[in-house]
Amino acid sequence: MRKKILISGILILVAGQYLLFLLNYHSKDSAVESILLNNLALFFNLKNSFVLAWTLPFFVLLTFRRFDSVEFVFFMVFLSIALLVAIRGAFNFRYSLTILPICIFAFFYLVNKNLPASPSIIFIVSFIPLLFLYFQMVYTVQPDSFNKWLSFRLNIQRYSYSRSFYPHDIYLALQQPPYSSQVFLVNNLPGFYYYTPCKGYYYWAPNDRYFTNHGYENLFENRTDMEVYSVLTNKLNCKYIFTLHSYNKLNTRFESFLNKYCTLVLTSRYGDYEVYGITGYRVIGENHK
Amino acid sequence: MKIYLVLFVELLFIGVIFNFIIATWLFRFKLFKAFECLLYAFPVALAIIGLMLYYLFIIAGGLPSWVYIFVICLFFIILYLFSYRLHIPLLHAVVLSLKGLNNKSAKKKIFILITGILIIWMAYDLVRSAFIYPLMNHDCLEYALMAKHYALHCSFDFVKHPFIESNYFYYVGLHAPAFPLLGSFEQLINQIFGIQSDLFFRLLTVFPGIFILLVLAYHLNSINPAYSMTGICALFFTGSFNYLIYDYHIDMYRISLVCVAFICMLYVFHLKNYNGFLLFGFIAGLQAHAHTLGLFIGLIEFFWLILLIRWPLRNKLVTGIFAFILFLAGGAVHYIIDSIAGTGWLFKLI
Repeated sequence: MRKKILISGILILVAGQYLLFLLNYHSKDSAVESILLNNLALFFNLKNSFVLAWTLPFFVLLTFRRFDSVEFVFFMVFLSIALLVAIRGAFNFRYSLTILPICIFAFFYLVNKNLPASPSIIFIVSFIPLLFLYFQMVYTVQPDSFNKWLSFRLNIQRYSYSRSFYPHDIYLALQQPPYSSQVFLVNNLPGFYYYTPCKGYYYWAPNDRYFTNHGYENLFENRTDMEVYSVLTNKLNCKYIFTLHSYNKLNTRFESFLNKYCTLVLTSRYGDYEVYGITGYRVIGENHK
Repeated sequence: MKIYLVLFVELLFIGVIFNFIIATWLFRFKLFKAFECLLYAFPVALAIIGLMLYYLFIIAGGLPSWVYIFVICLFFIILYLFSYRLHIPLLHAVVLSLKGLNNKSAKKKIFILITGILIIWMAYDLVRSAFIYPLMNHDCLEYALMAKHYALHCSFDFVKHPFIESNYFYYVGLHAPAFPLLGSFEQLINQIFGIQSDLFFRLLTVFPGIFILLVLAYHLNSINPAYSMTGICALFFTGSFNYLIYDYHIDMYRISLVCVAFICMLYVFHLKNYNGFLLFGFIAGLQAHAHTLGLFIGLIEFFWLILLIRWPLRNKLVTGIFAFILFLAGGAVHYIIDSIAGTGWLFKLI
């Protein structure tokens, strides 16, 4: 009987894990999937959660009647924080990581409470998460190799954040004349301020806001391109725009302005950092909105 | 070479001396076990440095850099004078707990050894990475910029628009400045020694991250050492956690304080320790001072603790009020002042 329960448990676990992989890597972007992957990321998003965190609610349901007062407080606080993150913190994946260590502890604690502490159980409970974790990591790094059972390439450097985006060449150039004494419009790149002595007004293309000592203002909204040119050159005294190529596409007017009225003067070999000179050659005689 | 020497002295003072002084104070409260006091003291010591700079910059801004370092060191010396009698008992208790490892079975010892090797390997790779790669993460660069700004002027002002005139940078962050102020601590020391470095600031991701792994390993070890090994692998290799522990960010620092506050809350509930409740209030305040999410988590913890702890109502309310005052003093008060006299905090439309 115990063997049957154990085998059924393992089969349910494998089936559940397979469904979880499908949810994460072959999602159809439905509303339910969005809630599971964003709001309930702590339990269902494999990038942000412990690989077996989805089993935690089941263990809690199995055990809550046997909770003592400390365990009750533990899980009430844990669930309250999980609820807070689910409701208010879903927009940022980092918030669900806040209680990830507590979630991992809770899993093993509840497993230990519900299952007998025999060597075979301990071995299975220690080994299975590592196995699922390995497949998850291999799939994350090399999705095509998911079906390759004997993939021994575990490259931590590739798994970690890529460090190839530090544009030290462009920062070095900006420290020299003529850039070092000029004012820039900086498209949400704080490295500009940290690594160069230049001045730059902070701008964020998707919400079209630039920031001054009076707060923020919209740049393109309710302005023609000529008026935008005037704001940049006369009001803000900007000669250059420092941006990331991938950020340009987040605002079509911004991208269009760069293509029509600016000249690309610097690019970085690392990442896609760009410096545009606000030349405005084509501004004279035109009146575009 | 000078940079590494200064970094070594910084780590020696904070990681060893200040850590040990705070550990003896935690030992006083008779809440945590001896080894846990040594462990939890690290993020608490860091947070206290950030908190002290916060109050010093507000109350006595504009003084020379060495004054602030001197006051912080003086503070820890005073703490030491009130706690030096506990050093030997603490060390004795730690040695006894480590000797207890001898009583474990061979299998458990093997798993403890494997866990230890894994943590050392992870720590080595993290520290090596921190020495090689510069600050690149968007948010962390903003914190580093503000760290330099606070240290340059040796002041912290509540302003509606945090616009820096020297480079036109506008700081959009709304969290309390604990993390940037730790960067300011390094910058103040840099000013004294005439060096330029942000190595200590980079290591503020690494060391709290290692702390989180150690805490998880320690508590899972109490269930089963095999789970400890699996648990730290699961934590370290979770994609986003791995990304954040390698890429410099505030998260490891704030999560380390969340862990300490959570554990403190559980101990207070279990031991029904009145002084422990006050300590929890202060640590929850430090947690709030690190990040806005810490503030809300602290309030959640307060709520459940006061609701469920089995004390007479009067005792609950009186201790709760004092603990809440300490919660505010520990850093949560920043959000009240910022809402009224500063940026407007969450009420600001960004």
